Amino acid sequence: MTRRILRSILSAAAVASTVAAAAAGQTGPWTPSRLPDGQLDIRGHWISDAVGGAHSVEDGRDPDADVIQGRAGERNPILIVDPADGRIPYQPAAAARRQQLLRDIFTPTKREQIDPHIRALLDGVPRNNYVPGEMQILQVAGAVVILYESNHSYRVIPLDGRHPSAQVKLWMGDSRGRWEGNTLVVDVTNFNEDTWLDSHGSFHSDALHVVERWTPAGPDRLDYSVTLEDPKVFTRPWKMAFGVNRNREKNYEIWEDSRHEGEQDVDGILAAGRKEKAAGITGIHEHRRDGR
Amino acid sequence: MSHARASIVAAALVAIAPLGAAGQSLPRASDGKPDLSGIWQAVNSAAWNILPHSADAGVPGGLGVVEGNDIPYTQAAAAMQRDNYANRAKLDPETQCFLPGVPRATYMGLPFQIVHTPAQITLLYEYDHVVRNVFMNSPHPKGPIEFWMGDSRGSWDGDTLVVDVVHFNDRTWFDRAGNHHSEALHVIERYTLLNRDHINYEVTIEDPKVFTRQWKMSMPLYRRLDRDMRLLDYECVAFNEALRPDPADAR
Repeated sequence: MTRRILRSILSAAAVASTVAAAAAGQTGPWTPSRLPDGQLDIRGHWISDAVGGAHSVEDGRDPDADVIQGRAGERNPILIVDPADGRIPYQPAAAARRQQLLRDIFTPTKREQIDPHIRALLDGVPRNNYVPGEMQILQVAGAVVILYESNHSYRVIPLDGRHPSAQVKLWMGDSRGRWEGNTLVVDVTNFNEDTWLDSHGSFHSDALHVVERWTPAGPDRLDYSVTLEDPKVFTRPWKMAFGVNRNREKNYEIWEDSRHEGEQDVDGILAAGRKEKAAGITGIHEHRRDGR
Repeated sequence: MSHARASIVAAALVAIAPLGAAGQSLPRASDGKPDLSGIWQAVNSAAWNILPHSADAGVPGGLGVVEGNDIPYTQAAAAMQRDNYANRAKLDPETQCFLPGVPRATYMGLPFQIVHTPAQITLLYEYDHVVRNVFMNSPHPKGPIEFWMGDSRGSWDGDTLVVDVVHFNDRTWFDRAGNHHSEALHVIERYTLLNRDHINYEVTIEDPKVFTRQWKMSMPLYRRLDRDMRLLDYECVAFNEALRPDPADAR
């Protein structure tokens, strides 16, 4: 199935759900409520549509894992909406490096050749928004706070102030937000170069600049889009978009995810990779897909 | 000497007391409770040893934060502490970047931020991006559960935030000196805003498997007033990774 067909199925589904909502008795436009400091109220527990579908931001789910988990054929969310071909616009040297990373992932001999997510390192932004797990948004006067279930990571997003000096590098970057009409726009800089955007070695440099847009589209839905620019590795800014839905489970609480404390995979992956490499086995991390 | 220390502590208490009594109004949150929002830090040497101790290379001396300067260990637990201390370079969970537990997270020497909302007060620590969600006026879930950071439930006792913490594992320590507990640990924290920039932090510790009675520690927490103050990160998982033995070396 081609990407374009999938896209049109997805848009059709979106239209259908809007129609269904209208038919269910929603009359007139939905008006978001506001907090005392004027912010739109987006508090609550949320989970993104892209969770589970972002093994690769370009190719979506891991079809091999889907077969193992009995989920073959499940809907594959399209994350990259610009450029139209759905691929990250890497510069030639960066594309070559990513290709090498895909080979290294196949038979890793060093820890840095293993997905930082598996190594229980922080996921960075925007990846934390689509790794498995939900997020809770808290709002206080002058700030939005996002708590992620995965790896107990968090972001404090002040609605004022400036990014710190570029010499300060952070795993989650430095987030500064502002409300533009009904959209929370978050500008994120000060990244290090150690996080990936997915399990396919989609790396970035410390020049990464992320702009997220969070727009309430209904009481239980946020439209999310994110623009990534990085003049050291991308040829142009590019964009991902997906929906974020309210977790309506009553009294849901985020509990501790002690990912690093329970991590037992990395040494095994490394030992296997070295053994295979020593035996002359090499290859590339890829998935066979129908029609590709 | 212990008299001298006691008078220093007493003098410190006298010095703190007028701050709350000066008639200065406390900042209040929308729920009318003292507003604990902000970035705070303990300034002491409890990270090394919660008991009084002399300075050593890389270790600042400290007057201790334990009431009565004594931890009432059972005999076996006292022996375990001595063993922990002797082997601390290897056994301290901090050296593996494990979640630090409560109350150790408070005085690791890094700042933490309190996000104050009526139903949930969340503590965000710079150290290892630790998060504690204090759910207000709700019961602990039924155990047994073993969390590294425990399960925190909060309530207000007048103007004091009281946080009851249970469901721990037995793998965290109180400091780098090997002071320890079991999974039966029960921690009660009391956060009392003294004025805009100071919190009195008091902790009651109970663990019938390790201590013969309950005991307390206390310390002031100071608001970080630095220009453009924000939490940064201390991703010790990455630092730890660089130090981890290579699986190839084990063969």
